[in-house]
Amino acid sequence: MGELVVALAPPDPQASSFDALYRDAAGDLFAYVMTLLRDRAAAEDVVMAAFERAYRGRSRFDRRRGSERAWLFAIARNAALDELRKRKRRASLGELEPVDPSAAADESDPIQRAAIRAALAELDPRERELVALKFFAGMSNAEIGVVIGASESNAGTRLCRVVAKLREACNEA
Amino acid sequence: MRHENTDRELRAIEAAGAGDRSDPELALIVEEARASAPRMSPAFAQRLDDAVAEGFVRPSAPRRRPRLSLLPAFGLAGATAAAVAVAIAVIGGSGGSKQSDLLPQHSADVGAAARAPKAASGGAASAESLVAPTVAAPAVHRVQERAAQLTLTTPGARLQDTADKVVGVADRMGGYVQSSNVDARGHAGEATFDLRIPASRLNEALAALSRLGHVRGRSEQAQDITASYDSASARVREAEAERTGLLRALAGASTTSEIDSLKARLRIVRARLASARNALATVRHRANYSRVEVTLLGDGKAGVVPPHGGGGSWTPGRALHDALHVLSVAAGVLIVAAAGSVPLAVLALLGLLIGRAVRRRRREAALV
Repeated sequence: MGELVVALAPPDPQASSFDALYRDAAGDLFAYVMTLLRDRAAAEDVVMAAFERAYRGRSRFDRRRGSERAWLFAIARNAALDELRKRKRRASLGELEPVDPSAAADESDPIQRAAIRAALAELDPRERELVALKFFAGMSNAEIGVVIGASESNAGTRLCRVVAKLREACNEA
Repeated sequence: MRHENTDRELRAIEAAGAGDRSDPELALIVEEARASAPRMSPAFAQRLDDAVAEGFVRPSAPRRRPRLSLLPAFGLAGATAAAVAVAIAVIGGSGGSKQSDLLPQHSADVGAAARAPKAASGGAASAESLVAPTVAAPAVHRVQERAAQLTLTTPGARLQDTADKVVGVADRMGGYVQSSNVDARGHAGEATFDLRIPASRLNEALAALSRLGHVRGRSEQAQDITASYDSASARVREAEAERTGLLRALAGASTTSEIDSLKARLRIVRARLASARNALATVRHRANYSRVEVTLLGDGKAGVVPPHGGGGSWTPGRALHDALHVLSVAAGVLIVAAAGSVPLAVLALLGLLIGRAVRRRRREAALV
């Protein structure tokens, strides 16, 4: 009888929504946090904490203030920055993760690709963050603005500057 | 121009992100950027999956719910304490009606002390007493002087009538009016009375006076004057003894000069005796008659004062009146508290905003 009741009970819309968010964003979120922290263990802790905070605070999510993804990334960003402060360590250009060769479909233009990788490695933390949000997480400029606490146009302008830097490195190659 | 370039570049970035390769350079950048994205380890991915599936259960994590659930209880307790404090302040401060409930015991004690000598002395008063003695032998009983002050409000139109009743009460109790001043001006007049009421009937008189209007204030004092009484009595006895001795000596005197001398001393002693008796009478009067100062205030809002006013019994009507008074004062306290809390709330809000800004600035500083 109890099983029947459970079987007939309607699914919790918040829980299913969170599950969908988790499935959609987990990988991108980890990549973003890892980009900020440059420390795999710390990034794992922060991602776990961010998902837990989002899970416990999902009833407080206000769709009018942005998408669920942007909200989740903002939570993770705060946790990551707190982690950075706690460790009294500044996000610096540490050792980059080795690039997965299979990730790039086309291995043409190896010189340009190398130049771009080098330029990516030399970006400062804020610029790296924009690259992660735009190209790892595929966020719109409005979503990026929500995450980093800036306006959409400001986020777009800053992103253009980063891409210009990368273009310049590509052209110089 | 620059704005247009930025927009064009942003559109190109969006297109490249969506897989468009019309800008090969940008497509290359997007590919390399994506290729550099760190990936979760399978172990962490599994751990995260499990945590999400279990709903982030943390059995050892202390829950703060119980503390939150106590908030209403604390609020209720605080509100009750505040209400009790307000009620005590209002009832206690509204004057004599409640105070009179507390006073009788004290008054009875004082009255008993004053009445006791009367019973003890009875008709065995000294022949030299100028007033009816109600004070007993000094060594046995304490002698007290009692006084009371009473402030009443009454409708201004009834001020004169009430003033007459005050005099009537004094007469009925066997006392008298030492002085009075009645100033009836429209609805806001004032009358003051300095009454002398037999100490043995002070409580009765105060009760009668309290029924004449709404009691705004009432107080009583008792002062021990046993020492003054004993001293005055001793001086009388000494003077009497000396006079008796002189009279005897005078009866036995034989020479003119001796008689003249005794008569001169006798005149002096008689004067001293008269003075001592006057002093004793004054002390006795202070013990036998209590001073009652009555202030009668005309209340312009005649309807406010209940017709049954006074400081007598605490009737349901008075209880209702007091309850409304308590509520109105409590409302006033709340309004004042709200007014006071507005700047505090503004400060708290400012503090919150500043705190957020500082925290955000510190967070951002970590990403430099």
